[in-house]
Amino acid sequence: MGEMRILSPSGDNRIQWDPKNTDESEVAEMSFDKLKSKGYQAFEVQKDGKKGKLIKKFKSTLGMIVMVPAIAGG
Amino acid sequence: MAYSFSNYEGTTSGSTSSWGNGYSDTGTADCTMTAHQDQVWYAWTTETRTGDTLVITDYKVVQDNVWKLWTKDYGYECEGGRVTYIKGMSTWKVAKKSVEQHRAEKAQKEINLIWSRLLVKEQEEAKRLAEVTAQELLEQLVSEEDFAHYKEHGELLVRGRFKDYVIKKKGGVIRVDKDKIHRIERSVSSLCIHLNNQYKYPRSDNVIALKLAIDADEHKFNKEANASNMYSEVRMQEWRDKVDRLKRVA
Repeated sequence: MGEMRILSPSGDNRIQWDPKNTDESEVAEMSFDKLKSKGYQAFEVQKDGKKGKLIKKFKSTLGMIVMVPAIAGG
Repeated sequence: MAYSFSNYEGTTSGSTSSWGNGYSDTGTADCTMTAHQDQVWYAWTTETRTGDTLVITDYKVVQDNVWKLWTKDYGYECEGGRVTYIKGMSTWKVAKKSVEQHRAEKAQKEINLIWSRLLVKEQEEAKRLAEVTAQELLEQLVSEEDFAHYKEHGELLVRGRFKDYVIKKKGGVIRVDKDKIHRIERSVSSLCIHLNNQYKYPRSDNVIALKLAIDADEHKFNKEANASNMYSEVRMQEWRDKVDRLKRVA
């Protein structure tokens, strides 16, 4: 089961999909592309403190993705 | 002859008189002005009146003045046939507020106050829930020890490939060099970097974003951050010790 966590003012929003279900995967991919076009960065993350990895393209086989709005130096 | 809100259509003899702004250039007037809110409303919402007595030439001016009349206690006085309004009179000479009006205003103020308090409470609760949700995600991304320290102290240690970082929940990042190089003490810098519109998001979301950015591309993170050196050696040593301690715990 894939999961996308999108950082938002309410904490985070979730989108889940079953990699075997093409409809669900397509919906998740559309959301991914939309957020990327808004300047979000996508990180593939591992649980328990393992390092995250920046990703450019959506893959339905990825476990967990965190979508982060742009950051900037102060 | 009286200027009165109720007979504004046929009593003034002047050439031009702005209804509701409280003065007339011509004619005689006593100061018996009676105002009723619905008449004020009528004047306020009726544009130009052309007739034998009344022409409103500047609609905006009339609106402003009527609004002042209606909402503040402006009064009028008459001097030599000229009616002028006096700013800040404590009572309206003619149309005093009734006891019921006072009570209604007071009740409305109380309702507004209760309503605004409820809204503030609701917003605070929403913020608290957002922070809880953000912390749940953070908990999944870091080790148990790191999260426990974060919960207690509001600081998250992130071990980069080149340097160590402490992300503070309340904002800001401390960057500490890994090891002594040629007996030169490790440098400590304060970094300013955060989510765009960071105040829209719960604080822990900001921490998650910075942690992921360091993990993914440390060079880019350092390039984007605005770094400043710590001037006090004591403070620098405090941070070095803190990072060493955190690394030992984890």
